[in-house]
Amino acid sequence: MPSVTNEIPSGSSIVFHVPARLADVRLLGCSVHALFLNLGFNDIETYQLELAVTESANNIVKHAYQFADDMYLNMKFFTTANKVICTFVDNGKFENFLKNNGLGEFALNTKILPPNSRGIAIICEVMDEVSYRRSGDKNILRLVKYLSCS
Amino acid sequence: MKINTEVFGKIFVVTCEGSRLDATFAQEFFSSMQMFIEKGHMDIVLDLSSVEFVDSTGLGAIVRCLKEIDGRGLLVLCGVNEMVLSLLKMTHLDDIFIQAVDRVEAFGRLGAEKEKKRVPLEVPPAEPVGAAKVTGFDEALLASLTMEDSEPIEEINDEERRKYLRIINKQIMNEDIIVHCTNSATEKCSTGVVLDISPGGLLLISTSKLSVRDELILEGRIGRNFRFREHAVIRNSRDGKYGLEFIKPSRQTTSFLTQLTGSVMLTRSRVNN
Repeated sequence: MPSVTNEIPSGSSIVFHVPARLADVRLLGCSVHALFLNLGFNDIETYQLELAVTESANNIVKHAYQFADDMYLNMKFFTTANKVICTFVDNGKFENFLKNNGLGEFALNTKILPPNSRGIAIICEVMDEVSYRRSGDKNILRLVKYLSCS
Repeated sequence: MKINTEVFGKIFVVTCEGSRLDATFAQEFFSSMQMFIEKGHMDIVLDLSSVEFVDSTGLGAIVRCLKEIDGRGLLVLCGVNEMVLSLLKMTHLDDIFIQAVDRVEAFGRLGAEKEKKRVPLEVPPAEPVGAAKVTGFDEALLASLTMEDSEPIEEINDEERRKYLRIINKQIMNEDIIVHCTNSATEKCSTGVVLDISPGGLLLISTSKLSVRDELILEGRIGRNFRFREHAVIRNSRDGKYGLEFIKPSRQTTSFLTQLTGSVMLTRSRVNN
């Protein structure tokens, strides 16, 4: 497991303001790919983390905003000494897509989830912590991946 | 992302040229594949060697292609990189797809799988049960079957080893009978093709590794109208073929299969005469 590198020290953060369109989610994916690689994750871990971020953003575009025009989502990428936190904020419809996550039974749930819900299972499988809540008119999705303590 | 196609004999090769098969491109990809399949290209090698990123929507599009083929041909994935493979494993779809390292291996796998399907079927010894009544037989189903011109049943061994008469799939339908299997214990999913079936069980061929004594939930369709969902246990296995016994089959399934095998008895009499 990687630790925070010199390139991205603990406490660093960047906020992405992304048009809520699938094509732009791709840009977000490519960006976080580079960040995760710099943090020392290997190729497969980096792919999976990019996947989790992409699936989260896709869910916002598809379900929260339902492909509405001129909408944006924000994602804050934040590192601490022992974890990376990706926090998504959107102003779309609240849809608790984590209702199927089964808290610890992700693998099992992956099998029973319909094909169009695989993204949720992937997010839960890849990340160490996933939470989703409503705050005012905002939806807040928080993904956490632990780094090594070394 | 761009799609290139090539034809090698009866094999249709689709190459995704671009690094991402994601939500942006998934629908376009599926529409193209659907068009190829509708044009009759059922044996497809999907070359993903340049694809570095697949998301759940892209993966869903590939799964939909497999469903679109619906057992009428084969879809072989080739050039899947280790990242995408990790997604297949994570979503437990790695054993649903036939995979090959490159095109050469893909052609080989496709040929081998097709050959496996063509393996001459050993007709198991059968109890010479009396011809079942065909009254109440689903007429719509009858219309969908191909009994009239079916091949004569091979001579069967007199030794009675089985309780029920079995009917081989070629005598039921022109197309394969695909069964979706879910392991009752692990919930792992796989698919198989029915080689023969009786009211007591069926012989299945599957590329997935199944184990004797595994209990499966089988879901499938015979003809246009008859759908079944039954529990079964694997009693034996050899060379990718699995002998399954139904566990407490529903009355509907038992009745249907009894009538089906009974109708074949009639066919056999006709052929022999």
